[in-house]
Amino acid sequence: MRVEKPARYTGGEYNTPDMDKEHKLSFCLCFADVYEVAMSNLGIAILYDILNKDKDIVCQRCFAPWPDMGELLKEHNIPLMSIEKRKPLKDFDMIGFSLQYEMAYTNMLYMLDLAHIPFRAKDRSDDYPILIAGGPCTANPEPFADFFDIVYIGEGEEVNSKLCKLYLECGKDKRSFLREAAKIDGVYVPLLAETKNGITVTKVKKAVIKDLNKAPYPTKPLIPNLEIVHDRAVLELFRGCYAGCRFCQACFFYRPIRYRDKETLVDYAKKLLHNTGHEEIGLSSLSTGDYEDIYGVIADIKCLADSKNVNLQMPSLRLDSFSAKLMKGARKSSLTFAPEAGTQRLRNVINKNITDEDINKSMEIAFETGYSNIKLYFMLGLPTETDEDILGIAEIANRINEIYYRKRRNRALSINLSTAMFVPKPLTPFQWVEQISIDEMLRKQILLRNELKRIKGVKYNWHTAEVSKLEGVFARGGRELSYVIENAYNNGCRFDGWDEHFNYDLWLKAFESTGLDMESYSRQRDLEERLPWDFIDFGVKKSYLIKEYKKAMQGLTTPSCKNECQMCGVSSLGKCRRHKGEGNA
Amino acid sequence: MLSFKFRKALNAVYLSHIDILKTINKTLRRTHIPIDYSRGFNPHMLINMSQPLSLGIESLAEWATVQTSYDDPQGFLELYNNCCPQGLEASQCHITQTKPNIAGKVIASDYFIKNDKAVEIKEILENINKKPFFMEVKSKSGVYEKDVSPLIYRIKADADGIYLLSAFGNTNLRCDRFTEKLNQAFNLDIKLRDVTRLNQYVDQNGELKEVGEYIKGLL
Ligand code: SF4
Ligand code: SF4
Repeated sequence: MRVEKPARYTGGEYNTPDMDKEHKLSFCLCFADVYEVAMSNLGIAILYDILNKDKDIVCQRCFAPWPDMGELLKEHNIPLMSIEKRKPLKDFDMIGFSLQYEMAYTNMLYMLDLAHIPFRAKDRSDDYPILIAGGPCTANPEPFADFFDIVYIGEGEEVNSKLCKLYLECGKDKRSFLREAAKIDGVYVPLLAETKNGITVTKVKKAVIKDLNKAPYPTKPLIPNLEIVHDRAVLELFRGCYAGCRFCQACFFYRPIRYRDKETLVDYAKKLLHNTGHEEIGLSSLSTGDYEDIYGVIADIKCLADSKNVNLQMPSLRLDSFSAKLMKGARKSSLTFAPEAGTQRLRNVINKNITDEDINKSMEIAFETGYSNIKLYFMLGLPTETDEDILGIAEIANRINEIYYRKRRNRALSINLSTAMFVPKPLTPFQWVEQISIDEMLRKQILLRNELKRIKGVKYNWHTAEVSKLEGVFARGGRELSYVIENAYNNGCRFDGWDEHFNYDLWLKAFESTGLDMESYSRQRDLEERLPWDFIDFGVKKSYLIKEYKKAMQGLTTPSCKNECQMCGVSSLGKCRRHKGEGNA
Repeated sequence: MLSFKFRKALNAVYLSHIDILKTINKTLRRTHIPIDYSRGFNPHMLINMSQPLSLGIESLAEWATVQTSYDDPQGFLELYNNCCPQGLEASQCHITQTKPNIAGKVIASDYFIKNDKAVEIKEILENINKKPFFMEVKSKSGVYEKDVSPLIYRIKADADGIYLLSAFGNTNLRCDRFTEKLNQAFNLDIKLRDVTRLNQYVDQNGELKEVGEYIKGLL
């Protein structure tokens, strides 16, 4: 066997829709990472389901081949093909990439290269497929915009069918198709967009599903034949998040806050259990514990799951919504908490509304319930952070230890503490702030590591500083960065999200040869400055983000909008579900 | 006890043993027949499978046994085949009172190896186990040359290819390595995809009995 895990490429999964049906449009759904990661992505499952349910469309998949397979394809000059019918990518009408993280950009080019498709939209004739990008990275699509004919901003479910219909109407005339497509909400056509001083100015409005209950959901998803990262049935409860942590892009990107009703969820759970055979079902949303009737949902689904010998995977809950009620009867593996910062002051700055007392109380309950394995997540390099805040992280770990050993316990406590580096992201109140240097990142990590060494039972994991740096650069950069991505790919960068493949020196070389200064992307931005993603109307108003930024700098918090709307502005795109008072936000 | 014979063909030949186990597990869950689970916090399905087959080899005769009160063999085949992914279809099903312990009892397996050159060295091949035949084997203590002739029970060749009956189970002639060795030794060009397992056999009073026949005897 010359390639590892050939089942990544062979398909044949149960629940595969009819691939031989008569169709007018062929779509290839791509993901710039390996099968096991791609197949764990709910967005991919949703789009695949919707597209294949359309009587005119057949949608196949293609994921990044692991380097062993990639080399084999190159060696034999075989173009990259779809999984289902082994159809070369370049023979499809449309290709859609779901871009989930900045470090996948080179992999996207890797796939195009293997597919023998020119990288830049302007270099592709009408004979090539229409290339579409979607996914969370579209919060700032500029660094990769030049590679695509279309960038979907917002929820693909909404845009997809409209685009496909239009395509069928326009025939193979790419220009006129793109011109018409640009009129659809959520569709950004980089080639046609107007720019001023290199910054896009043509307005694009985020696409939003109005009613999640009516949105299609994959209750007959593909069942992979090999083990994937999240090998379970997934139920999506709601979109958006009330909490408003100021570093969190997902919170603002996925607003307005929309629910699936409990009845819908229970119905989907029944279907999923019936159609999948999974041993586990999980609940997915940004802050699951905030769901209105979370206890009710958990109780109902637990009951269904138990009757089928299926495990309900408990969602990781915010500390303040943590409750003993939810934990009863759950499998006692480990419990996850994300206080994100070590002191109350800094938690106020980032608007993580968790107090030390919340942490203490939750831990007491957790230990009483029998947990002895705690996972803690923090961020380093947050705006206004001082060494005192970092030492505060160690103090929390210390205190948790102390609480645990107040009583005699049978098992030793184990704390897995991880830190990510703060990355300033578009569409957050921190989109203007400076990202610290790599040296400073390393200094902070070492400071914390030395402090944690003194605490029994703590295992410390940290993210690679260089990766965080690059994420920050690509999160906030402009169109010119496409040359860096291309250069980096040509230098040999791919699978940058995988430690064993990441090579920072190649990235440094790419910046050098394109003459762009990496550090200039990490700087503090002026509030008045026009930002590369300002042309997108995400619903959440810039004035709201500025207000939040200013409050952050004063250490003032903003309450969750669960009970009272904080007027973020997203209601211009759709109504939010709130627990009290349904009035227009 | 419900035992069934299934194939491992088409795309499924590339699935590892553990992935096959998981996939069969999910398939059985989708049939919604009442299968027994272990007790405790982490219940798992009570299932036994054939010993692992080398990746890339097709098989017409893999076996699995599950503990269930379901007792309709024909009904099972229909349900199972409606719920299984391509390449893992079942062809036989038997209900027994006792556990057949297939994995523990199997001692041999036969294979058809498609090859049009083998017939040219028919004589040599058919006498290969008459004298020592050394092949590289890997074990915990490392790689060494081992005489595998006692593991080759019978070998025949004709214009279509090679028919091999060899040890399988606790002592095992790995068919992928054996074909590799044949390629080296006799300049053949056998590909893994040309190898098909036909049946598995248990030892019954010193005679080889095909697993399906053996289970029928337990009824
Ligand atoms: S709780 Fe905070 S970090 Fe989590 S999704 Fe909501 S805003 Fe983001
Ligand atoms: S409109 Fe109001 S309720 Fe909706 S997300 Fe914004 S602040 Fe929250």
